[in-house]
Amino acid sequence: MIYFLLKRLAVAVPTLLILIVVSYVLMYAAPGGPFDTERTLPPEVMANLQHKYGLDQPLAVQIWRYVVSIVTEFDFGPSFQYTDQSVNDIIEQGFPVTLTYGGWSFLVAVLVGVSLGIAAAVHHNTLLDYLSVGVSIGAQVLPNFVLAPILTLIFTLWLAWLPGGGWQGGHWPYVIMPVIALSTSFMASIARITRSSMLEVLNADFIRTARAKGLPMWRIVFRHALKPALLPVISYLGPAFVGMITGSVVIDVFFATGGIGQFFVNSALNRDYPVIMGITILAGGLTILFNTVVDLLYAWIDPRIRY
Amino acid sequence: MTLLRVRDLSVTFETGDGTVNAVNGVDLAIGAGQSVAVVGESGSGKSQIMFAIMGLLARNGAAAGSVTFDGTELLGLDEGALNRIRSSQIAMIFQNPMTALNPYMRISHQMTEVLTLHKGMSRRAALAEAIGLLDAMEVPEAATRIGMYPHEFSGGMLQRVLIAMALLCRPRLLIADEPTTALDATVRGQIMRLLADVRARFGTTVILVTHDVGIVAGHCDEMVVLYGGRVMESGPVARIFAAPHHPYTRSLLDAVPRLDRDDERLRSIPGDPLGTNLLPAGCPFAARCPRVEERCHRERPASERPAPDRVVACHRPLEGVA
Repeated sequence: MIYFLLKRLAVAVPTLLILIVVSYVLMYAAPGGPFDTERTLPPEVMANLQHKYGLDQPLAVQIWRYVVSIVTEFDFGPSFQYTDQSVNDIIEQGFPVTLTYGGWSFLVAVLVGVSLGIAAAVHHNTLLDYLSVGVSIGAQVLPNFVLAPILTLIFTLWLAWLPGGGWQGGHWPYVIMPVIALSTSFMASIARITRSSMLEVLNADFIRTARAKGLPMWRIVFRHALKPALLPVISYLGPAFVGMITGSVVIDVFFATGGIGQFFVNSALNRDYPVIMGITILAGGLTILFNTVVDLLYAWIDPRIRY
Repeated sequence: MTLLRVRDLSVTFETGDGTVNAVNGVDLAIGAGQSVAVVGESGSGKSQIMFAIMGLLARNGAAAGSVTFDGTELLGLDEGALNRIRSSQIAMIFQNPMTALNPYMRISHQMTEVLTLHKGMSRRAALAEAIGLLDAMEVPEAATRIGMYPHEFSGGMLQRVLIAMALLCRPRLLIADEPTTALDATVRGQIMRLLADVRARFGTTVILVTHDVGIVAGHCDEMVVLYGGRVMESGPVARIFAAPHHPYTRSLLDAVPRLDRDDERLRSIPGDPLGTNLLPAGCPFAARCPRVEERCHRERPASERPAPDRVVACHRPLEGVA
């Protein structure tokens, strides 16, 4: 187990390095630069700016300096776009926001999705099953940039129950609509995966044994079938969780939540190199972390998997 | 006393290709304390009869007729009432012990839940009882091994675990559905001896479902021969072995490899078993029968009683029976 974690860590370091180098090169290869504006800057000013941020150095030197400052000082550099703010500041500001609504979205998506999936599988080919499949498909094809305006229309403009945007430190009325908008499609995927894997498990030989033992259905479902049925769900949840807590530009822009997703897209548009890199590394690191968590959960559920 | 009586049992499955008739009007009477073999090829409906008795048919399956256990009609019983009978009155063990146990749960938990549920025992008492039964089923170091997961056992050991698990509530009837099919030949004998032991020690009535006529002799009192979802012949094992009435039974017995015969090759039954979706008007075995006559294809032979303890359904039975 310790050995497994060490091995994972040993693989994570080169993975992140490759991620940094590839993203950096791609970003650099994209046309345009951070200081290209509509008004052309005098060449001396441009040269000064380039020099100040080290952009006059060869690419390899820039990457090297970038990695060194991360490793030695945990400094992801200054933002080119938001003067006086470092990438660390931006992440410290934006990440708690996306973590909050992303975390709640994850909880809602898992609880509702898994329950819906189980209910559909247990009542296979009944009205409940068709209803749940219908809801899942509907929720999955409804993109959040359509769902968000609909929610605002209903809850803000018509009913006037919830504020149409803002964050207010994560006060609950401000969190509800972002959570619904973000969790719906994830919930639908989870419901679909849970249903099909639960159906498969319920056909297994050991479920027939459990029925022959005279166990009531709820006990068979929750004690015997749930764990194996959740295995495919869990492998989906690792990357999905990272996707949710690193936020969504639609949510951030539409509900003006100030989360990290908005910075990510803005930085890409403005060629704000350090911010692009910072958020990419954050998402990459979290992905590695949660893939490891998924593997550990697998071992916890399936006794045949041991590290 | 008759413990289990099956009358005119039919089992059908609705599939995309139409209705499959797996069992077609089977009658069985199993006396308390008996050991009965239900013999037939794959697709003869033998396992489906057992699933129908236990209420474990697949979702698309339906049973018609009557199954009474100790006077209680089992067909159409609601799930709750069935659950009170399952395992506590009628227990079942399955063909493949490697897949019949839940790979994600410890043996201890899978065994104790039967006792905590049916007998209301505490987990401690249930665990002690479970270890005791594993011991009785000759699982070595039962007290330690009960804490393990199924993948840490061999197939033969798992079948012992399944038998022990089936016996936890001391059921009156144990249905063993091909308990040795998935096991090594060397382990088969041990499991069969264990089942005989169970019957002797706990007085359990045993139904042994098998396609292996070879293991029936010496282990069972009565046998029922099935073909195409119908009973071809039934009666005491010794008497059927000595003088089968039905040509199908004779073919089955002939197909058993024997050392005391000087055959060059194994004797097999020509032709293929019946597809169960077309229900023949006559005898299901007619197409492969060496004694077939025109009438066999046309008319379904009725069950005759050539002797008080024997039943045969054949127009031209062997051994000079009219």
